Amino acid sequence: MINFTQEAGFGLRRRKRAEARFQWAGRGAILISLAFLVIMFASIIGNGAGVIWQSQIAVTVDLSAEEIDPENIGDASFNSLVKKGLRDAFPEVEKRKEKKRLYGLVSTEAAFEVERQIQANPELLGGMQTLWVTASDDADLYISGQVDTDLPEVKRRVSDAEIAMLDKLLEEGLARETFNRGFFTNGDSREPEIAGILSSLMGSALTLLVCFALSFPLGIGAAIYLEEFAPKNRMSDLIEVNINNLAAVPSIVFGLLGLSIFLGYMGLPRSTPLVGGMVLALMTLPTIIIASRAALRSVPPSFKEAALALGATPVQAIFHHVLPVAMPGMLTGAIVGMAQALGETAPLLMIGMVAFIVDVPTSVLEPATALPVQIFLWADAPERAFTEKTAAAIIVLLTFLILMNLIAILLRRKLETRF
Amino acid sequence: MPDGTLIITRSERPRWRDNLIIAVMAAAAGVAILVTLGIVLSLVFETILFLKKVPISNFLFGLEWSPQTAIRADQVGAEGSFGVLPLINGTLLISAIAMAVATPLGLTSAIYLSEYASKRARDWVKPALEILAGIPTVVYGFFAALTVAPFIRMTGGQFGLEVASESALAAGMVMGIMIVPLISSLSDDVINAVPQSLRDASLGMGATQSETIRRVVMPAALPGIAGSLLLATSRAIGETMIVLMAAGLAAKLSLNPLDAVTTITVQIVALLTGDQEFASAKTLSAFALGLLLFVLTLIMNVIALRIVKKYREQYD
Amino acid sequence: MDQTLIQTPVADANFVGQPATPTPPEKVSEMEQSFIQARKANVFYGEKQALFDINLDIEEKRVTALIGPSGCGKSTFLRAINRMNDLIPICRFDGNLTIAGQEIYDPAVDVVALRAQVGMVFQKPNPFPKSIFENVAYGLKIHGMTSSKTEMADRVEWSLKSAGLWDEVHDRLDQPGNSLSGGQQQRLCIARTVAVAPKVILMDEPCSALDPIATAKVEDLIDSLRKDYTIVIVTHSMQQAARISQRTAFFHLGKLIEVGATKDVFTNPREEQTQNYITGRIG
Repeated sequence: MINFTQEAGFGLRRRKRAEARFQWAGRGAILISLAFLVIMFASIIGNGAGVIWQSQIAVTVDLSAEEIDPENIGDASFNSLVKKGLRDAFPEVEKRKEKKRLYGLVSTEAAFEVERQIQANPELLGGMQTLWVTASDDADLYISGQVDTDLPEVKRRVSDAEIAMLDKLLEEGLARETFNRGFFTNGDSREPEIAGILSSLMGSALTLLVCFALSFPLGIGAAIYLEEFAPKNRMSDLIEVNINNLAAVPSIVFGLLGLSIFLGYMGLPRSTPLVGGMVLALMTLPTIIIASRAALRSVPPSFKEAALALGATPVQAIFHHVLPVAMPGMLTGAIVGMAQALGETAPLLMIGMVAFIVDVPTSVLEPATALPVQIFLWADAPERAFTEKTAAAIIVLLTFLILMNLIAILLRRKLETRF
Repeated sequence: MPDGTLIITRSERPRWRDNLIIAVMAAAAGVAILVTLGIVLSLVFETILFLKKVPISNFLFGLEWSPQTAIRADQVGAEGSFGVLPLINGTLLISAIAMAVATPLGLTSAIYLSEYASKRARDWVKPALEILAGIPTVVYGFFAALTVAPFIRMTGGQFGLEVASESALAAGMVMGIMIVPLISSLSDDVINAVPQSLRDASLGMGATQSETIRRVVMPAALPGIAGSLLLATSRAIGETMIVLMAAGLAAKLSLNPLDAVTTITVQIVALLTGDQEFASAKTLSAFALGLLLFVLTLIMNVIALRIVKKYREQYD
Repeated sequence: MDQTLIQTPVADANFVGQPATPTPPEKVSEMEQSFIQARKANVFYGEKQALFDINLDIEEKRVTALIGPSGCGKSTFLRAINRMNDLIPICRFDGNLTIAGQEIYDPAVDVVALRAQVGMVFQKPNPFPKSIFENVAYGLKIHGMTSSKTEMADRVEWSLKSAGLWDEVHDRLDQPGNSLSGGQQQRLCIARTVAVAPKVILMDEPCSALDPIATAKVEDLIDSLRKDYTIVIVTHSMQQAARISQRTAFFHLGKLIEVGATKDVFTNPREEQTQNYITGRIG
C-alpha cells in the first residue's frame, strides 16, 4: 500500500522530466553565455592575429651620387627613386594606369622608409641597393593570403594585374612577411600598414597615471573617513547614498561633466590625458571607495583597539595599524577601478580624446588618444586592413586587462590567506 | 616627569594634527557630493540655455530628431528639430532586446549556480561569467558590428527579411550578453538570501527541487530580482559604445528590431564630436539629452537600490 | 478520504523495486515488525559520526517523542526518516531504516515520493510567502492531488479544520501566511503537512518558538492527530514529551540509550543516564 518509488503516483515521472528540463535550461544558459565569450574571443583573435606579420617588398634603388648628394641626403627625391626602382623591376609596365597600380604595391610611407634606412646607414650610398619597404595594405592582404582569387575581379580589392605583379615578386623572393614591429612602435596613421598603437598606448598610460594619482588618495581618504570617523548623521547617509548612485551613473554623463566643467569652465586643455584622467578618476572613485571600505571592515577591530589601548590617537591607530593591513584589499579595489578606467571609451570621446594622434605623447598636457578610443576609431575606418589592426589592438587591450585582473586576484588571495 | 605623576590632561599638539587629517579625509568624502552636484549643475545649466532656444514641449514631445546646423542664419528650419521621442524609442527598443536576452540567461544561470551547481563548478563558472562583465564595451561594439550584425543580416535575408546593416537586434543582443553577469550576480545574492527554512519546508513536503525554486524561492526572491533587473535596465539605457558602433544614427520611431534606430547616448556622442559651435542649439541639446539620461537612470537606480535594501532587511 | 487521494498503481505484491525484507536482529525478533524500524542506523557528517548503531521501533498511530540533550542526534535521526539529511552533501547514512516494511534508503526509492508520505514540521514556523490558502494548497498542487477547484477548496478547509485553524482564518484565506501569529503560523504549517495526507508526520521541536498558550494549542492538535497519523516529535521539553507522547526514546551522544512507554521512561527509567537527564543532572 505504501510505495516510495517512482511508481508511487504523484505524477512523479512527469515531474522528474520537468526537473531534468529545468536543470538543463540552467546549464544551457551558462553554456550560451560562455559560448558567446569563446566565439567573441575566437573571432577577435582570428581577425587580429595576422598583425604579427607585415608584408614587405624589396625595391632596388639607385643610390649613386647622381641621385643622392651624400652631404645632403634629405634633399633627394626618395619617392621618385622608389618609383624608378619599381619600374625597373617591371619594365613591361608602360600604361599610366598600370604604373599607378605598380606604385600602389608599396606603402606611401616607402619613400620615408628608404630615407630612414639611408640616414641610419650612410655607407649604403654609392650604387644600386636592394632595400625592403612596407607593402601597401592591399598588397599585404594578398601576400598574407587573405584574397580569394576565385572571386570575380570586380569583387576583389586586388586586381588581376596587381596579383600578377605580386606573384612575380613572390617567385623572385622580392616579397616577404616579417615580424611587424611597427604595430608596437608606430603612432596612428591614415595608412593601415603603417598605423601602430604606441601613441594610444602611451595616451592610456598617461591617462591612467592621472586617474590613479587622483582617485586612489581621494578614494582611500573618503573610505577611511566614512568607515572610521563619520558621525552617524544625515550628511553621512547622504554621502553613502550618493556614492552608491554615482557607481551606477552612465559613464557618458561623466564625459559631459568633464566637457562642461573641466574644459568649458576651468579651461583645461582639450584632448589631453590630464582631463581624461580627471574624468576617469571621478568615474572610478565610487568603485575604489566601496572596495576600500570593505577592506577596512575586514580588519579585525582588535588591531585598532590594541593600538588605542597603548595610547595611540584614533588617527595614529588607523594609519599605523589598520591601514597597512587593509592596503592589499584597497589596492585590489584600485586595480579593478583602473581596469575599468582602461577600458572606458565614451567619456573620453566627450572631452575630445578622439583626435588623430601620430606622435607619441610624452606629457599629460599634450593631445593624446587612448587605446579603446583608438579601437573605436579604427573600427570605424573603411579600409579592410584596419579591421585586422582593430582586432589586434583589442587583443593588446584585453591582455593588459587580464594582467591587471590577475594581479588583483593574486593580491586578494594573499589577503585571504592572512586571516 | 617626576615618578608617580600621571599626566592625563589634553596635549594640544597631536590633536590639531589629527583634526586636520580627519578634515582632509572628510573633504575627500565630500568630493562624492561635489561630483553629483557638478553633474547636476552643469547639465541643468546647459539645458536651460538649450530650452531658451527650443521650447520644452518640442523637446519632450517632438516626433522628429534632426539637429541640423544652419548654413545660413536665415535659412528655413535653421535650427533643426529636437524631438526626443525617436531617441527614447530607440533607446527603449534596444534596452528591451538586451533585457529579453539577458533576463532569461542571467536568471537561469543564477538559479543553476546557486541551487544546483557543485562548489567546484561554481568556483569555475562564476569567474568565467565575470569575464563578460570585465570586457570593455568598445570590444562588444566591434564584435557586434563586425560579426553579429552581418550574421543577423544574412540569416534574416535567408528568411526573406529586410534587415538593416546596423540593426537594433544586433546591438541589443550583444548588449544583452554583456548584462548577463550583472543580472546573474545580483540575482545570485538575492536567491541566496531566501531563507533555507522555506526550501526545507517545500522539499520536506515532497516538492522536487525545481518546484521548490519555481513556486517558493522565486516568488520569495521576486522583489530583489525586480530590483536587480531594474539596475540592469538602467545599465542598458546608459550604455554607449555598443550602440554607437552597432546601432547607427538613424532617428526613427520604430519598434521593428530589424530596423536601424539610434539612442540618446549615440546622439550625445554624435552631437559633441566633430566640428561644433559652442552655444548652438545642436551642441546644447547634447546636455539636455545628458540630463534626461541622468534623471532616467537615477530614478531607476534609486528605486532599485531601495527595493534591494528593503528586501535584504526582510530576511535579515 | 486520504486513501482515495494517494494513487498507488502498483500493489505491494507485484512491487518490483522492494529489497528483500531485512532480517531483524535477534534482540527485537520477538516483536512483530513495527511501522518505522531502524536497524544499525549510523549517520556521518563527513568524518564525524553523529549516530551510532541506532535500533529503534516506532509504532503506527502513536506519538513517539525523541528526547535528549542538544547535540545528542535526535534531530539527525528525525531528519533521517524522510531523508532531509540528503540535502547536506557531506551527510551519509548507513544501516537500515524501513517504513511499513520498505527500506527507504534503497536506490529505487524516490525522495519526492517518500517525503510526500512522510511530512515534516520544523522548529521555526516557516509558512511560504503566499496566502493562507496557497500555503495549504501547495502540496496538493505540486502532487496533483485534486482534480477541481472545489475539491481543492474542500481539501484546504478539511486540512485547516484538522489543524484547528479554520475558525480563526476562514474569513481571511487570501491574506499572507506570515500575517498570522507565531502559533497560528505553526498550525498553518501543520495544516499544510496534513493536507497531502502523509502516513507519518515528523516534528522537529515544533513548539520551541512559541509562547505557552500557543504551545498548548499545538499540543492539543498533536494529540488529536494521533488517531490518523504516526507522529515522531523531537522535543527538548520533558514535560511536553510526558504530556503528548505514548512512547519516548532517549538519545545521548549519538546513541539511543533507552526507549519505552513514556510513563515508564519518566517514572522508572532503566538506565542511569536517562535518570540523570530527566532529573536535570545532564543536559
